[in-house]
Amino acid sequence: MSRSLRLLKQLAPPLLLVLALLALWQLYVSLSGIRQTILPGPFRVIDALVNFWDVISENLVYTLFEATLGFGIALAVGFGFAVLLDYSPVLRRAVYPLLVASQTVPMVAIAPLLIIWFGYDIVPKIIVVWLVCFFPIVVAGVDGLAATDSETTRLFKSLQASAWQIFWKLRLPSALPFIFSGLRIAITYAIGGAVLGEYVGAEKGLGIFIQRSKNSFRNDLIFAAVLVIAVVSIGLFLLVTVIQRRVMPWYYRQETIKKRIIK
Amino acid sequence: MTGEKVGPGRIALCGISKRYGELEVLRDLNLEINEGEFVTLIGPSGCGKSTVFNILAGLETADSGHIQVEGFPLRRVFSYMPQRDSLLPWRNILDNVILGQELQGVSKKQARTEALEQLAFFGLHGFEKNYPFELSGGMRQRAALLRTVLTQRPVLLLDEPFGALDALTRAQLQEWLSELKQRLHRTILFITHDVEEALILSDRVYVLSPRPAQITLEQPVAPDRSGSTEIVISPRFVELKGRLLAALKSEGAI
Repeated sequence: MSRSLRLLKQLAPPLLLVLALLALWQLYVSLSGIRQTILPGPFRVIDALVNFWDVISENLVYTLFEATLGFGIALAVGFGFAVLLDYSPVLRRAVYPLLVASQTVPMVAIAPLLIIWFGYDIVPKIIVVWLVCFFPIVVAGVDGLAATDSETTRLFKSLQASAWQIFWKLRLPSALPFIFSGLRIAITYAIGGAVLGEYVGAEKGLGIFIQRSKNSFRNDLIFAAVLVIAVVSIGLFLLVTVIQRRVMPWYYRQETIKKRIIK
Repeated sequence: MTGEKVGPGRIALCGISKRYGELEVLRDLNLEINEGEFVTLIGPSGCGKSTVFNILAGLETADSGHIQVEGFPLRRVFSYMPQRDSLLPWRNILDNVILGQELQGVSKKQARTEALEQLAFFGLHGFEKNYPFELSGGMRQRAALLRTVLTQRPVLLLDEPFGALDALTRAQLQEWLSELKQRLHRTILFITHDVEEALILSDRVYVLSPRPAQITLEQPVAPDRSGSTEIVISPRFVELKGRLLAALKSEGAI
């Protein structure tokens, strides 16, 4: 089977499903006579997106900046934390429950407080993004590093490998598949986190754009913004996947071989 | 077993004892391995064979007793091959087999050149760019063995290297390892619980008792082993096999 044909076979089912759902949506809006200010149909949303693209894109740039910056900080701090927790079992036992507990705090409760503490500028948004991305990255990092094969570790030790060599040449590479799984989850949270941070108070960004649209009964603009958020989030997800393929080509070759064997 | 005096290039384990809490694994174990010799430890599962290797490889310390090695610092004597191949899935075969040298500070380029010369004999020629999961079980074991050999230490510690392979591959690798032995001139300490494998490969076999491991039999094996397929039915081989099995049985190992 040629490469493009296989790609088509992969993409066809989700594309068809999306098209079918959109058709159903448009059909309902057209036939039920519901007012488009309450529920705009897909065509109306596209229309709004095109007409307001300059405003939306301007806000998007702002949101994207917050999301990537917050994600970057979460990655750096999260990875550092994972290494630290991996290094010290005592610290891991102490911090891990706290980490899990922190995930049960609703972000909608925290975000307004952050505004009170840090004001309306970019800082509270980045903190929100950091908070939502941090957890999956740390957990993936800790689990990944802990999953290092013990027999291979003994082999390294029998070769008098230094702690640094064991980390750099063994623990880190073997944790990479886990870490990338965490990153792919975290990156899909990043934009949503930034939007939430903006929603409770901001000057620019898609979150405040959504809030203003709601206040002026422009539901079509809300949908347009949501569409943009979804597309950009998927784009970021794919970007991480592409990076993963570049970083660990061996992993994908292994996976395809496994699949072939199962078939 | 005298165990106290060590001649040139010889290794002696003197009175090694090891316990994990209540569990006594080794009690006053004495072993000797001569330079260039192929010595096999055979014994029931869980008798402490692997503990001996761990102590030699520096992964664990003995509670008492000592190891004497002539002519080499102890840390640079043993090259250990674990039971599973432990090849790194993210490295191709070439970069896997140079691991030992790389960790000891040899430049990758030099290590690779050296490894490439050896690939053919290890049946890995043309596979240097392949990842471990693309190789058969026998090839992976050979790659792991090449990594062990390239580490450039005088004594190889092979812990049941063929344990997970099918019978045919196993027989092929046994024959191949005898050949390799002639080529390498290295001391090899081998663990197995396969009596025939021990007799095919070894110059000398130690039979160990169940925990706490002690030596119940030290059996030299006649060095005349031209082809492994014929010798397994020779009267001498059958006799030795019977003797080893009896020693294992007497200790309640079988």
